[in-house]
Amino acid sequence: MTVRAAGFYYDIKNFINDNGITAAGAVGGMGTLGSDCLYNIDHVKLYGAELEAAIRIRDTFRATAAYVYQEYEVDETGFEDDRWTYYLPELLPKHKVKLMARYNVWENGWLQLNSRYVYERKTQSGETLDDYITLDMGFEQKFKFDGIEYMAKCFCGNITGTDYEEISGYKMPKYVWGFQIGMKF
Amino acid sequence: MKMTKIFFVTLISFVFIFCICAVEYCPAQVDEGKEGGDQVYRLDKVIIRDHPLKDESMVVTPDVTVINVEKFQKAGSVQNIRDLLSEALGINVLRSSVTPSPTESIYIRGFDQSRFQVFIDGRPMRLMGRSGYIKTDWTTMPLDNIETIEIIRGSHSLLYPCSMGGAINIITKKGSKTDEIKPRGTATTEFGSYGTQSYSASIEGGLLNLIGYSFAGAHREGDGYLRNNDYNTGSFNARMTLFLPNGGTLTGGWDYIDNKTGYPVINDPSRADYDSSYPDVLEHEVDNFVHGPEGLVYPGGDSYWQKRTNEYSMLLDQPLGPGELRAQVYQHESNRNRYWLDSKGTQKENLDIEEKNRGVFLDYLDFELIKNHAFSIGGEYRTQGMPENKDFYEIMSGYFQDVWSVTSPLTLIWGVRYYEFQSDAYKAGFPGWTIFKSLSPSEQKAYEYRRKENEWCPKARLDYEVDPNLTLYAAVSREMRMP
Repeated sequence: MTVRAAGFYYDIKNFINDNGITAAGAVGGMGTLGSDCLYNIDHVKLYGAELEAAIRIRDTFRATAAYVYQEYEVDETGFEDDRWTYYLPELLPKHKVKLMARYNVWENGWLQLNSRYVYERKTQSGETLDDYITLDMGFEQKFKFDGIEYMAKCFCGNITGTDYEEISGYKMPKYVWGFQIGMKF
Repeated sequence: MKMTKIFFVTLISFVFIFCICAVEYCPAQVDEGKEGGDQVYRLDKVIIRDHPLKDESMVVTPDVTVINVEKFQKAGSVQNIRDLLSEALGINVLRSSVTPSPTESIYIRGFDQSRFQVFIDGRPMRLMGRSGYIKTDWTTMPLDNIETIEIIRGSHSLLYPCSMGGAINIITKKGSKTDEIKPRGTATTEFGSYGTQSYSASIEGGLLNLIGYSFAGAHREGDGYLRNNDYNTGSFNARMTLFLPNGGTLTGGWDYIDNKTGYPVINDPSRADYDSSYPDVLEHEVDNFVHGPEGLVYPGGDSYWQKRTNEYSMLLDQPLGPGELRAQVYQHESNRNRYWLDSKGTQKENLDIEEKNRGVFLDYLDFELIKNHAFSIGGEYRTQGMPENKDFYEIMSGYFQDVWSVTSPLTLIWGVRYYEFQSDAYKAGFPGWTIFKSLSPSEQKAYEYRRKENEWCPKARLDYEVDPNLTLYAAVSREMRMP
């Protein structure tokens, strides 16, 4: 088993913020005063921690788990508006966990699993998006015939049918399945 | 919230380990990456000939995650760079749907696309961002001809300019030095939900130990999950490499991508044009990360984005004296059309949005003039603009780096990068585009000026290798962001 951990801290002066909402020319056009599309934040701090673990048991099982914590602080600018969350990192989760695992069921046959936990986040309009967990599963089989390597894979994303949104306003689909075949020569 | 509690129990265990680890615990997998050959794998701006990861799909070191694209497997489709990055540590991929979107957001450590950079073989993929502020178009990066992806978190690398949040370096296949006539090839097809179809093929090999080649082509389409969110993409990637007499290579590259993607339209049950066979998309609930019509597009009429991109590059990689010379010239050309129906039912269009970006970089890497010091120097010059004004933005930078092996376990990496940035700009009091365009050339000239900025960005990093499996490091750096 291997582990990696890191902490990070950014202290940023004159952070040009793009609120992603209003048009650059909403008031006077690019480069003019009065547009709240791009504006200066005197001071921004971004900090967090990352933790990653990888495990490998012989050649039959491999998995990685990753956790990220991130936080921010911003100075008041006067451009804050009750209608909108102007600072885009606020739309990202403070906590996120990713899991990725593969299990060798039989010769050249791999069962795959991916899972993700995403903590609650803000939307641009100041609402809160719920946290969620998704699970994807797949199976891949490789085999050789006449000197050519073939591969067949099937998978189903969001197999638990979780209701979730990554970007506010767009519901993500359930049970996204797929089938792939390939050859290598 | 129950889910959150369960999560936090797990989290406490992780935090405990984290505190013990202090700063960094370096995995044994790094050694696996080095085994099987005498050449040490350099983790920055590497051009790979023999893949160092062998059978490993992903290796994580203190400052970089290296993904072996061919070996990477996950329970899902792996067709473009988004599909890989979504599994990498410290990266947030925000999607609106299963359809690859030109405007989806990817973040490194909370920094958006304007504060980290994507490179292909060391050449920046940063766009001018004209009409929409789209600085990185993720749909122009299929994986069909890609060998390795490196993800460098943080701003500590001197080799990647303007990378405040980090850098993603995509390394392409370039063919091999061989006299074996028979090439290696792959062919893959995929079908799935929402009308997804994908067909791709690649071929790679060499001729007479003199020329290497790698070609890949793909066609992908799908109906999309959301209403009007269909897509249709064709791509072709080519690399031809000339193997030079003294161990060098000269590689010419061409990447072509043609992409048409429908904007998901508002699908509101309270509207007469509601279609219940698609998910609801409501007005005023959609977040929008770019300055385009996304979230403001309505059913009826034509609503899509169409873009053609051509990337050309020539890369020289040549051992020279005590170090290694790397040079590249490159050019990006793209043409984009946008069509959408607005809330008033008016058909809008924004046609022939062209970008032309060009650049050159030159590096001399890892030359040891003084014992225990590996120096690197280099610089770049690039312009971003449009055919009629190619140097709207001009970016110049140069750097110096010293990797100083202070003692056996202690290494200090330090240096500085100098930036100079220029752009066309308009003075305060600019009257807005409508009025500006009605002015005479001399009146327009009175508002225009050339904006110039420069900055020194020093960086330092200390690595302490406690044992082959444990490395502690601390780094401090200064970085600037340019548009």
